[in-house]
Amino acid sequence: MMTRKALSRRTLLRGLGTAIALPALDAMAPAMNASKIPGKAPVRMAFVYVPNGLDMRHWTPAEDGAFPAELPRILRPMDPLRQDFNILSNLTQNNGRALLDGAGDHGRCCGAYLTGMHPKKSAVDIKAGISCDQIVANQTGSLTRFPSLQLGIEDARQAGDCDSGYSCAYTNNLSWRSETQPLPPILDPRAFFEHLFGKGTPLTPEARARQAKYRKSVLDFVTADTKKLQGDLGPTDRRKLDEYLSSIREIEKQLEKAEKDERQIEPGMPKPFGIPADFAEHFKLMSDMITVAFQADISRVVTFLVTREGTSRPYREIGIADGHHPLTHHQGKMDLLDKVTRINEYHMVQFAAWMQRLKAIQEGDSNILDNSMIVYGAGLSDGNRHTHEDLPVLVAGKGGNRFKGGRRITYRKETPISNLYLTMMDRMGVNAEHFGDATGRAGELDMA
Amino acid sequence: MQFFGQGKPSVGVVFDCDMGSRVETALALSLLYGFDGKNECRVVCVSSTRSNLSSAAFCEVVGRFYAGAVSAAFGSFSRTLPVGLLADGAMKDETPMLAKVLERKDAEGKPVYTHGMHRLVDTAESPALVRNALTAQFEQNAIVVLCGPPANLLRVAALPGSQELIKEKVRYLVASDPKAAMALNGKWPSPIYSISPSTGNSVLFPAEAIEKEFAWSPAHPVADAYKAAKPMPYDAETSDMAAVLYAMRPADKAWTLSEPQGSVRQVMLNPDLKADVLKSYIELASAKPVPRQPRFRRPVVDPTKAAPPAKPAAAPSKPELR
Repeated sequence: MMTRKALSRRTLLRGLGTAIALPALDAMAPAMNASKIPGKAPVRMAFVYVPNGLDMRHWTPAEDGAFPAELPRILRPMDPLRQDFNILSNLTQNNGRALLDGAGDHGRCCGAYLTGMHPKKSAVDIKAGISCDQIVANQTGSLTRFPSLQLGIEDARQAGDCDSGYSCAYTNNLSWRSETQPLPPILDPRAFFEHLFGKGTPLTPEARARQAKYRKSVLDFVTADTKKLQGDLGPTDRRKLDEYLSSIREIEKQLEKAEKDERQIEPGMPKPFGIPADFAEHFKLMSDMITVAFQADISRVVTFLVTREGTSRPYREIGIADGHHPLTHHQGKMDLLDKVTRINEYHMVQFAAWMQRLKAIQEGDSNILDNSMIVYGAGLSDGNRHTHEDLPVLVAGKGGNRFKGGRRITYRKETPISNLYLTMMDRMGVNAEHFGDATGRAGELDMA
Repeated sequence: MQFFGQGKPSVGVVFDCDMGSRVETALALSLLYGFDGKNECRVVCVSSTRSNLSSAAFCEVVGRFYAGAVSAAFGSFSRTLPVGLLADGAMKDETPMLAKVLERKDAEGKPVYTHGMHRLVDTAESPALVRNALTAQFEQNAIVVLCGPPANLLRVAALPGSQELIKEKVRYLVASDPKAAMALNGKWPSPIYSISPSTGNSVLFPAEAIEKEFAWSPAHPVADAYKAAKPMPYDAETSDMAAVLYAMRPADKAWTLSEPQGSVRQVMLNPDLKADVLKSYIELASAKPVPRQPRFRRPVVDPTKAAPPAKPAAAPSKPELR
């Protein structure tokens, strides 16, 4: 009997300045038995943060337990995935509250969101805490090429005062490597692409210009490796590989389109080179790359700051010229509130589409979404009153088929959101005794 | 909510009890709200170890009754204080003082007293509630009053970081039950005072005061609870009230202290001043709710001893968000 040597999970397609990781293939099974065993595929963790709170009237399902036939307005885009996510109510981030520090809820709530610590009020001498994603990255990072990835769409300034004496480091970052070192998000899609598929060293400006002049796909650089690999694969794996490489090519096309696009993002203001003018395009580009990172096990830990906390970005794409933050101080005016809800819906449409793409990618007997825990939420609940209790929290995915979906789960008041993070750390195989202001674990998420 | 530049506010009081077990606990809570109405304290947190929703509901009814006097929450503006409740197993039985108040109906059959405690998730997790309330107080500007078993407070003290927090924020803890005080000895890092057993027996709250002094309101939840707890007329013990009064006025000549036992000292009542103490109980517990103070209260502490105002923040580089 002839046995073929299993393909390593760490196999890379290599070429000039290029290293493309591979998705889980059947040919890797003997070496990576996990892919054939349901629930044993790697579990991923991501945090997707939206700013300025949400219109909670259209977020929270009326009753606990199974979702109603019709989901609340903001959640409706998630309807096709209704069994794949949960809504958690009453979770609180006490350290986002003033606690004697006065104004600055936007700076505080974002700085505290994943750290569970009370950020120091300062525009210069910043201090929060190590964020839960980095605790996981520190312990699981050796298993993947990148221990964690930090992405954003809007603003990565680290200096200056962004809210009532709070540094922009608080409003513009989610991940903190240490209590004084935030990890700025990558905003530029091309930079993220090169981060994922490059060899780890940034291209020089000259090299980048040469590459742009003779624009080639990264796939062109790995043709030889690809052909060689294809010859060793069975038909199913060949199809998987083709689909995977096509998705990378599709991302490249989106990047090129964004780079050629000379539209203005604001009247009279040219958009930065390579940044899609359209929010939805930018979101899709970044989330497609996260998908590839999950698919190829390039990283298992991601934070995605959709837009910076306190942002006043308008959404002209959907006919809203007012800034997001001023709108959230609607003082109960229904026309303004409706615009807030529409922005919340618009964000959710992008997120739901991404979740559907994750669900469509098979992984052994399950799919990537089943093997993920993706928290979508905000550091404020009511953006008008700046409330830090009953935060909007959506957990998509089943954490490796451990979570039962399709429910609204209501915790007791003042239950720290850090309890949820501790539970997620458990599912990532990281046994932390304590985190932030946690008082326990959010066990109700688990299957009964 | 407290802000620098406003002066140090009156002391924040955490009130943990087993509401429903003894009517004197309800009297103690109304006494505390009486102090709050006089701006001598701020009730920043109420929690119960009596595992019954009605216990939390009654606490909320009393809080709403004094709504004009209840201090701002530690969280955001315009929110009601959540009531903490110990929930670790089977719920305890209703007691008449809780049930009768919560079931009282008006002529149209509607509840006289409304509350929002219909499910366990309407209550707060007590350790987080108490801990969070303390985080929002100035240094040494919180007092804890315990009128019941120490279960909630032992859990608070066991949370990571709580020992330092309690040391920083809490001046002292006053327990109405010496056994509860001793259970906290060595585990709760602030000074602890316990009311001597004789103190509660030596001053009895008279039924007559319930009939007369609380009569200004056609529906007073504490008076209703008193009437429901036992057949009237009867006089109630006052250990819980003594805990509140001592917590608020420790320097009063009515009190003497024992030698410390660990971190616990026992509080004894000067028999000559019983009448004065009883007068305070009646006057403050039956006081009418005071309309809500302006959002920023004037400081009640000596301004010469108050913490210096914080240095003004550097000029913002852009308009402030808030």
